Amino acid sequence: MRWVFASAAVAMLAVVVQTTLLPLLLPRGWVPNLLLVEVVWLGLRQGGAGGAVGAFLLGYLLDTVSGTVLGTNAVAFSAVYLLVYFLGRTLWTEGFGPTAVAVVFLAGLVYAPAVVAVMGAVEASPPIWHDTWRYALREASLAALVTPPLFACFGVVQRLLGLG
Amino acid sequence: MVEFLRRNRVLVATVILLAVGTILVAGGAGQRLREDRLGRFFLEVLAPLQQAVTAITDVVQDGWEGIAGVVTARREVLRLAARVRELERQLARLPELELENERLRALLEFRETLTGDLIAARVIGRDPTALSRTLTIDRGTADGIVNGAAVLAPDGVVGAVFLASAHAARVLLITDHNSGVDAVVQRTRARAIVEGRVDGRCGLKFVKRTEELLVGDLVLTSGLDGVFPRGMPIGRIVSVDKRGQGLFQYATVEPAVDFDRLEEVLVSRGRVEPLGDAASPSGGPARPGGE
Repeated sequence: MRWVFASAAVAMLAVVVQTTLLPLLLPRGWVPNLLLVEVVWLGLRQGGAGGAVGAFLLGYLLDTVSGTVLGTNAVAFSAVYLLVYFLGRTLWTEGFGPTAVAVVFLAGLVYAPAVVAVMGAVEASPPIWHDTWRYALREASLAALVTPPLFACFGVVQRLLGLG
Repeated sequence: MVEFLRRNRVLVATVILLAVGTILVAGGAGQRLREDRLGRFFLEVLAPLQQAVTAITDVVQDGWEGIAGVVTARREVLRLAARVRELERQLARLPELELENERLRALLEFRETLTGDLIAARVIGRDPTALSRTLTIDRGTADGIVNGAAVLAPDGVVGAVFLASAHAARVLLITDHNSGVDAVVQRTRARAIVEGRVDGRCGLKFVKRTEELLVGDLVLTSGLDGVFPRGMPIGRIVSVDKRGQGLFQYATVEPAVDFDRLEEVLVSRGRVEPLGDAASPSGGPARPGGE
């Protein structure tokens, strides 16, 4: 139960930082998706069906604070979680080394097209397909860049709460 | 069967969640206004945190400017007493206060060009994703703001409220690809629809090919969508595309408002109309940012 509260608190903090502090410091469109990194963390460290629910709720939270159709990020994060979960069963990702960064990068490459695919399926007008890969590469790179410090923070929280 | 479910519970759970997500997406498709209670709860919980962080960043910004002021005045501070140092800190805050004063004065002057009930609001959050363009403001249903309310700035149209909680609201910007505004080209009075685009600009569509569109033409709200008052600047045409074979031509519009620097806005509480509508040559309010 403690990891549920810890994940929720971290998610709230991530959303607040992502919507207030980072837009002040970084140019428009270059704000890393901190919740995506948290989903990867859940997939690698928490795992299980509970982690899947957590990933879905993180996506729902992101949907409520963004302009996307409700459920878009929830679907995308669920898809990312599934990928990361299966990758986590085959890869050694202890700590926050290059493997974890690579998994986050890969997750970013899956997340962005997933969001665009859902948006393209339900919204009639958006001419966004031609920007998808540029958007995906940027999302993946930014998320990968912030992975080491974020994984370190998650690790500290995990240790403090005696979760692993 | 039970053994299969037990062994593949993550896969099964994810498939169920993907199905739930798909249902949510299908239910929300095509709806500009949201009615989800969980979203309203998240907004209400996040708004105070966002306000707190915004307040802290303001303090840090002021502090940074204060330090800069102290550094530049260091020699003088050494010669003078602690009172002078205190005065220097206060002086360093003056430019920020003057800028804020200027912005608020512009907002007040703009307010006086409109009739109807408008309330000033502060921008406290921005969209966390790169594909959608929304803002969070510090006013909500407790202040009389409802879904669909028009959001305006002295330079022009900002967008419309699409989710309001008691003390905060989310605004869909006109540059968001879900946004559509009924518009006219000021010079020719040609009717059109302005839609948001992913690149942060707007597109002008459904303009007949026979209409003349020129780079630099000002695009205004028509007022016919019942959301925005008539004659509010949307932006200027920066390119015209007639290459298609259809009945219409397409133009790219640079928004009149710089959304990245927007700090205060006016939100409508009911019908808003420009003052002296008939007298104005553009059919809209005479404002500092307009023509």
